[in-house]
Amino acid sequence: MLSVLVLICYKMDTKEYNQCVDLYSDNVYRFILKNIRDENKAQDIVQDSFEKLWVKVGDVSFEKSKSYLFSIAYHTMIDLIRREKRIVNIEATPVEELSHNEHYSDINDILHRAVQQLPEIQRNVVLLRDYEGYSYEEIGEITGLNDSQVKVYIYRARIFLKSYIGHLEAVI
Amino acid sequence: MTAFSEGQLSEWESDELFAFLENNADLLDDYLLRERSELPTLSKNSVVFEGKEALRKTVFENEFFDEFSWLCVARLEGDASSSELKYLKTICEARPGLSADLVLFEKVKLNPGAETYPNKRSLKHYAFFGTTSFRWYYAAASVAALMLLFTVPVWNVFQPQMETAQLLTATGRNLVNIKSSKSTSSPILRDVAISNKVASIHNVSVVASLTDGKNNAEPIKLNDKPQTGENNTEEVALLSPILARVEVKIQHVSGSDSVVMNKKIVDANVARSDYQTVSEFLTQKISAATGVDQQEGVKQNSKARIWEYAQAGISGLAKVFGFPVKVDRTYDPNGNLRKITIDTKLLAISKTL
Repeated sequence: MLSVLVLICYKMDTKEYNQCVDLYSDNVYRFILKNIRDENKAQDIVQDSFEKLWVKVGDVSFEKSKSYLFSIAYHTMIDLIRREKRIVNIEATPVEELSHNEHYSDINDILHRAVQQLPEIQRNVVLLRDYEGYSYEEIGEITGLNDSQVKVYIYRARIFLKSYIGHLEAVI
Repeated sequence: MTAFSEGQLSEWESDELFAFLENNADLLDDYLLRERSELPTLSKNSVVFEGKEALRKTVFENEFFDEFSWLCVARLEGDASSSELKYLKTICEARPGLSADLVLFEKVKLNPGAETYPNKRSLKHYAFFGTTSFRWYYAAASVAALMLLFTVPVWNVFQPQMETAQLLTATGRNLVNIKSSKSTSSPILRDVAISNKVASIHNVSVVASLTDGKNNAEPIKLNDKPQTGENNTEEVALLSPILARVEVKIQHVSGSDSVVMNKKIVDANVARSDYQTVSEFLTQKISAATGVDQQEGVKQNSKARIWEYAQAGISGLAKVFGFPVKVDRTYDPNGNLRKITIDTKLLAISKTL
């Protein structure tokens, strides 16, 4: 007797998963790209993150999918960065080295260059805060920090960024 | 003397002092003269340190921050209380120079860029009837559905007048007693009109055709359970495979002549001396694509509705291979399916039922 492939009941999570792709793929890509500044690697991380979400599609609710995606992408990115040893320690950089002779188009370009000089953890929390509007608690869930640590890192980053652009304005 | 005037001498010391002054009257005169003069005093409020705001520190979680910067960031982050905002305003009013720093803090909010992920489609997954992922599933199911479609209607020995449409709807009819079936001739291409289309892309022409396969038909049950009582027969469909061939020719056209420069024939079916069942075909395709043995996923009893499965398969084929597929069904006045027409880029297939 012939045997036929079994028809399984349709999973509604597939539809919601595809909605996640439409809603969050740009956001995750943007966040990763700003960190590692490599389009190909950023795309790989995004793809890897969504595949991991797909594996867990039955366990993750649609409401939690965004933070789950960012958490996966963040940890994947951290693994990549540590492998490639691209951490920059801002405390080892004298203030005098922060000056530039380039002509900047606008404040955003200046800020994004300043962000690249932040320590990895400060950069990540600031990007999550400003790009996605996450609360301290949500950022903490993604990065594995507590609320207070997130707040401290954000405050440090803001003070550094202000010093960076303030120093440039004094030079210019 | 100073200690005496400030009342810091003991009684004995005071007596000693008086005895000394009696013997040194000139020193007493000097002391009395000094007592009568007024010593200048400094005004407590005449000197103010201007930079105290910049020196104040605040502590949070054992971390020390410059108080003014802390307040500015708190304001930016929405963490500052009304009293802190008021205090910050007071500082800025007292020290206009600090207002410029406040303005700088307001500029350190990052704006997300406009970058977008370039290939969202590659991230998505699709499901047909619950089968998940992997376009190979759809491709395999599509080709198998094509094969299924071409072997319908059911070969019925005892009821040649039976309507095939009834079998497609598949509900409780006396149809075929498969055990009594004697004939296994294949009705593959009977009542099937096939138009072989030629799709040309530059100098490459693609011709797709269907040819007759082996004559061995196998039954596939449509019901999970046999009918009871008077209708104690099983609903089945007899299937026999067909060979789908795709011929690719690369032609060099010179004027009105065409010269075949190359020729390639692709058989959609696996080349085997014996025919392949639907499940075997699917199993092989899926295993080849995924490397996973799918034998365990194939079960005997299924409520496969041939038409829906084929239609999904055809749609899946279109989705995978990127060419449009048009599927039309024609019914008679009694609502019985009479004709199925599938029109694709490579094949136009119609089947009268």
